[in-house]
Amino acid sequence: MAPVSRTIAVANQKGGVAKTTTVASLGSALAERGRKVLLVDLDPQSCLTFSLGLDPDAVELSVHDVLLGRVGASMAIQPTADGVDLLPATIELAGTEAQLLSRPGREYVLRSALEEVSAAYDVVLLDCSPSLGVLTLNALTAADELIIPLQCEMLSHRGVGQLLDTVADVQRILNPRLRVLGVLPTMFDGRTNHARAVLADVSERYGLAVLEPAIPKSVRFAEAPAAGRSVLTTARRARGADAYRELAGTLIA
Amino acid sequence: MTSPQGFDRLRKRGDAADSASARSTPTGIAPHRLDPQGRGALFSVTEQPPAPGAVTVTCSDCEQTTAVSPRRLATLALPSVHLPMIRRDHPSWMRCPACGKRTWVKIVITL
Repeated sequence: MAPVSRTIAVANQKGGVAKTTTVASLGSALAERGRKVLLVDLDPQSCLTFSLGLDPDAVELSVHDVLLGRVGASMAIQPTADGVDLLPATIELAGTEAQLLSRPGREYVLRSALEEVSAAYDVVLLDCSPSLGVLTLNALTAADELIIPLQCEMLSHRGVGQLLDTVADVQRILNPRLRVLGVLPTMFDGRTNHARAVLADVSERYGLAVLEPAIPKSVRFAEAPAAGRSVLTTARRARGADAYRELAGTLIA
Repeated sequence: MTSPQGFDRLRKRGDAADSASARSTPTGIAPHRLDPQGRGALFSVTEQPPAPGAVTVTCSDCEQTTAVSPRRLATLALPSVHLPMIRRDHPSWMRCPACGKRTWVKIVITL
């Protein structure tokens, strides 16, 4: 029997809040637990693709080709050393938004493309770009659930409100089944009053669940992409790696 | 310690077209309407009128209108108080599906 697939978007239009790190690490943690995982890089900067050991400049078929209907998703998906499959991105994805913008039904392109392959996976994780454009809208339309990585500082806090307005629009117009799993505190330094205050206010103001454990700030995350592997491989016993393992356990419990 | 005023500068959910921007336009903008030439331009699908049997909940607190299934409504309405004669605008006290607070809401069932 085919597994029941969950599609989880990891989105926050604020840049630098650890979306890509979360997708790579959480995906690897889920794969460690025996889950079949597909990661989708929806950022033209291709950071996820690079982080998992592929050279975005050398990728022949990417999510760009899939979204424009040139090839099926299965043709562009590649295995990675971390045990997860990846639908890679290249810089060409920057033009995909412009191409899609004039198409009716543009919000459903990713959902349709993933239908071909999602049954083969337990979890599909969507790494969104730091914007609220058509690509992010596609991710929110294709997803069952949403994780919002939150760097616990003021500007990131403000971004959550803007994202939730878009989520409400998507739920109302495109995808009523989309559910916000919660905010995931990233780069968290619980020693600062500001981080704790931001987290408390986000949770209270928006009625959002706070996913646990908080992901601690660590240079190990910054080092991992150089090796083309996730932090679960490059620093197996790092606190950050363990935090993502625990989060993976919570998600599939 | 973070000053409370810092967080006060952040708007509440659903204030996308908050009162300030509404005041600044001659016609005003209904809360949370998508400007078709702004954020709404991303959507190729327009908002459809609710289908028969659709249920929407409008919150007096966060001012969001949320479509819910009858089953979800039943969950949200446990427990609930309904005072249509006293509170005409938002006659039902229950949990809002948008902000999660227990507050006064208006339930509309499309026939």
